[in-house]
Amino acid sequence: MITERIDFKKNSAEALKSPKLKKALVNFTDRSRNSRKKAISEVSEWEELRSEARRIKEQVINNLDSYLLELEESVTRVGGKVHWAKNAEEASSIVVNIARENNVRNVVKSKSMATEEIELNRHLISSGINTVETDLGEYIVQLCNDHPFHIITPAIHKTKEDISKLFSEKFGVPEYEEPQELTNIARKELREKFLSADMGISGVNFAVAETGTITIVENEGNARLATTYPDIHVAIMGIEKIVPKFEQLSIFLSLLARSATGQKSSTYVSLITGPRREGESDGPRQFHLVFLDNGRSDIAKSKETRESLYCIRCGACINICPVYRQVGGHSYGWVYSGPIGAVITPQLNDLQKTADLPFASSLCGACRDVCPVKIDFPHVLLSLRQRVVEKTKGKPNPAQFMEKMAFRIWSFVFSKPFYYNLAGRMMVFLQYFYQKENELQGLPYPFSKWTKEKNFPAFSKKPFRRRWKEKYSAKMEHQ
Amino acid sequence: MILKESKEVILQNLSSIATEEKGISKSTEKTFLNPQLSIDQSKLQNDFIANFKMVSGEVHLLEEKGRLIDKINELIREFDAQSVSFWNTEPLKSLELTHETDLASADIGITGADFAIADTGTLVLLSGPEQPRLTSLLPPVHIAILKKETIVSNIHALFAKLGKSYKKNYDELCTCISFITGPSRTADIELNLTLGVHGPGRAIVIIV
Ligand code: SF4
Repeated sequence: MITERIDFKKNSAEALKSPKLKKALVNFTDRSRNSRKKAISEVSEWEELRSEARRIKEQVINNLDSYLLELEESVTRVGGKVHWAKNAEEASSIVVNIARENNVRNVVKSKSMATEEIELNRHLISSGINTVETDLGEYIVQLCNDHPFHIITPAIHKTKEDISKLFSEKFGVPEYEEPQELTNIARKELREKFLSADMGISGVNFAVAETGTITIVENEGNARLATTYPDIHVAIMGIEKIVPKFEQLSIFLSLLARSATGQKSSTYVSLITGPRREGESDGPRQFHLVFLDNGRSDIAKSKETRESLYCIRCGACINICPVYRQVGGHSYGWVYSGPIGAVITPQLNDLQKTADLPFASSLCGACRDVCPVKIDFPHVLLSLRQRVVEKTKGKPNPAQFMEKMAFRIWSFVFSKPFYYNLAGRMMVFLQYFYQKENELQGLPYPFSKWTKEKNFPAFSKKPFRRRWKEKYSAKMEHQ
Repeated sequence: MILKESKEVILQNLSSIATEEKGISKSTEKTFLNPQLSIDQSKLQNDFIANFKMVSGEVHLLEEKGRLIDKINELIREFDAQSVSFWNTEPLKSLELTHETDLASADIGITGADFAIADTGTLVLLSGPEQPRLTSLLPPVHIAILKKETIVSNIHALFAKLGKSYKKNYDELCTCISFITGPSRTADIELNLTLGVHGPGRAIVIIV
């Protein structure tokens, strides 16, 4: 949960200070964009897949109550147990209780945004349960007590020198330089954790209502290990993750990997249906599925912003976003960043504390164009902005007052040709002190609000109206 | 008691969605199965090989008269493997291999593959009493024996095939279906591709 107001401007200013970070961001976003583009160009029916995925998601969210009940029934039928959690605390205590009841000492986790969202690690660790993130990026982030930087690649803000030093400090190994060597060390360290774990925790990419199957998509194999080796598997899913039919998975799996990393398929996709059955030598003996609401059912109620729940967490909108590319993941102040963060964070948290986020977008719409479920970001962002403004209505707000005044003056001047002309001429004189080449800089208050962040084009000595007249009359004479 | 209450709260919240928006949407379901798609098995095989190699997988084609056991022994020698774990299914069952029961210390895991997908280079393994999941996961090397006639064109065809083999009755769905597309990989360190971070660093297919 967010306790302090997210100050997007301050956070971004902080991020912009680091040239190292900037380089990593540009490098990363460029690469992701290009590989996505290439991957989708190979699929001739890409647009049809997107439309169909959106249609299915629409159907799921509009009928979420009955699909959740169907899923619960299916999971129970195959021997699993479903738990309903209306908020973060409840979800965490459900997991802690399962651990306690089974005397669990060691937990291995695979990457999951839902567990980040509810800060599950903190709860488990404070209950005396050893909890290890096993996705390499998440593991690195956990070792340095940091937060993930991106939903797909959490540690892109760490250089290999950082990691090399970190591993050497923590494990007493030499400072290896090669990424492959570092990876090998992590494999060794984490393999021991897997083999001594009594509970594995995972997220869910898709949950099939008719069969009770959960789908987990990954590249490393840590999710496979976490959901196969330990005796207990607990999966946590946001309630929006449902797909009605088993065969519909093919549509979402086609979209997800290509959108996320530009792979044709992720290395591993696991379709898990219930706990191990008689005769099987591996797989968990207990399977628990936690339904996490945490504000989602409220989103579903709003017709305007409901589509925020269609998201399949591919990260494509983040990689394409010109704002994210500059300011990075931490500026968004919570677990979800980029356009999807700007949309989902304010809806899952206190709107007043997150009021900056719907404005952290230029509404260029690039996110909408890449989104595999076609979320109409500009529309959703605008209606969230409206909500923010309505929420602050009635309270004296100097910025709003200034804005109102400015628009009054503007409409007065612009609707009377005489004043319009006069104002134009006056500007040419007044701008003298602030003009640098063709731009105005460092204007006095309240215009400084503009010029602090961007330059204003200077007023031309010869206004367009005059130039037009001259051109027009010259032409007339010619004829 | 908390839990029951939460279920009610969530369902009640969701039931307030206007009823006219509920119900199954009118637009018809689209299927992405193209029946016209030529099912030229040798093309499927070539596509599978190309795509599996593209993700750092390795492929061996068994010659007409070649013996599977020879190929496997050749690989075991190549990796200097002391212990091998394998699925207790045909054709592996009838080969003279010594089995390592402690999977965690096996050098090579050998499995079959129930299906493969040509256009993504993906192996599909179903779990079962004789087909443990960990054989393809714990050892540093995974070898899969793939029958060429089980290769399908794309993921939509795969799901259609699964649907058919379960006769749309998924009560018998196996506990775990694993899609494997190449060796375990990560790009978490400065976007450098590294292999074998958790699963096998070598993924080898023998096509028979
Ligand atoms: S909003 Fe769309 S593009 Fe962004 S992460 Fe979700 S599914 Fe992907």
